Amino acid sequence: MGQKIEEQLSALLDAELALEEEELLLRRLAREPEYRAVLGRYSLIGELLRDARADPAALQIGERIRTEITAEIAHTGSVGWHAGRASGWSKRWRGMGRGLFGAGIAAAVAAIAVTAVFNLNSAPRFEPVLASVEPSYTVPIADTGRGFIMPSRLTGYLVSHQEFSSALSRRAMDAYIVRQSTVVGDWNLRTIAEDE
Amino acid sequence: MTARVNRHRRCDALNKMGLRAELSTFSRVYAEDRRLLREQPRQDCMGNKTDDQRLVDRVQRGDKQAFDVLVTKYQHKIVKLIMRYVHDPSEALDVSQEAFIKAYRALPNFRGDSAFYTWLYRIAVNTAKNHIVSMNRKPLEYDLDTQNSDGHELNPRLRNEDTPERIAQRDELRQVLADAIDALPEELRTAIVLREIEGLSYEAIAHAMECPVGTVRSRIFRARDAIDKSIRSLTDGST
Repeated sequence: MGQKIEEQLSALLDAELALEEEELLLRRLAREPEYRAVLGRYSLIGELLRDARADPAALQIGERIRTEITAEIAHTGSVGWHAGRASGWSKRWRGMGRGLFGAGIAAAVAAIAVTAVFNLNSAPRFEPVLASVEPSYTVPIADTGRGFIMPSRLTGYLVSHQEFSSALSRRAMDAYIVRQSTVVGDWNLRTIAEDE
Repeated sequence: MTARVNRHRRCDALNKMGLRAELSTFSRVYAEDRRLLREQPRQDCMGNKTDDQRLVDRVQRGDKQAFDVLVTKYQHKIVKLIMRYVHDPSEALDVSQEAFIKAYRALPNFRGDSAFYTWLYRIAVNTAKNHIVSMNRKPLEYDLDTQNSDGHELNPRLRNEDTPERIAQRDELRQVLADAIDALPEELRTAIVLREIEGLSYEAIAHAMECPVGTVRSRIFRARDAIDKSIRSLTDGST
């Protein structure tokens, strides 16, 4: 075994190894069990120096843990979180995807809200204009945006087409005209008088 | 006050190991060491908080090998801790293994608010307690101070029960280790003691020994290598 590698192992144990050396050494440790054994013995030396009661039997568990984790990954495809953890790029892409999905939902909700508000403002308001008018009449409703039909215009229409209605309808129409004139005031009465 | 007690404890440890030269070096560098530690970012007892975090980050990015390094680093401490609860050595190894696996699975939730070892220590204690309960044994009446994760003296009643064979094996290992340290050149011995017992960083040791950091790294490695050659025959059966 190379002395240089062992010196790196010693520095790794003390966490004094440069980052780029650490990367390579960890890969090497994954491949070569002899180096893992050396690292374990260096660790034991330190423990024995600090506490003479340190037990060399503890050296066994490193390999046992390694074997168990590897076996579990092989059998189930994961050890708890490990399968779920993606490597750098795919994790980043997944994160970006989640972000875009969220932004998409937010944009869709915003668009729906804006459209709804727009429609609410621009949609013509159909109000019941003639609650008491006979259904046989079709009252023309112009999309003027004003939301209602001027009573004088409607009255004028009814008066000028009254010959086409039945007697019963004419009575209802007269009653309507009288009612309108009392509701809208004098100016409307003047309009009716002029029409007549 | 605590720092003074710790200092006396370390001096006693060095005296017991017959490391008088290191004791004088330790006294000489103590003031310098305090100054350096004040200037450095906060570290745990091993001086490893930020460095463990680097390995933890790697594991969280999916590097399983980095977790192996963390296991290697702390396996002895964790086994020793669990043996205070679970006295049977082979059972203690199983529980330690379980504790590490739990730590591995829980690692994505580790936010680094505490040192990695403190976090691992709590997992190990909980795993040991759960193991005792699951074996229908009466849990310990006393509790470990979970904050005292640096391995300092805990309740003496919690010491594990040793078999004569284990005591003999450890005595032999201790003797071989002491001989190996005695045989080291002074600069290697000082470097390894300052690192392993004092937990100083390479930079702090370089200040104390008035040499470059690269030399410190080399000295510590050579000391470990020499000791390793001496104890390998005794530890081979364990691996």
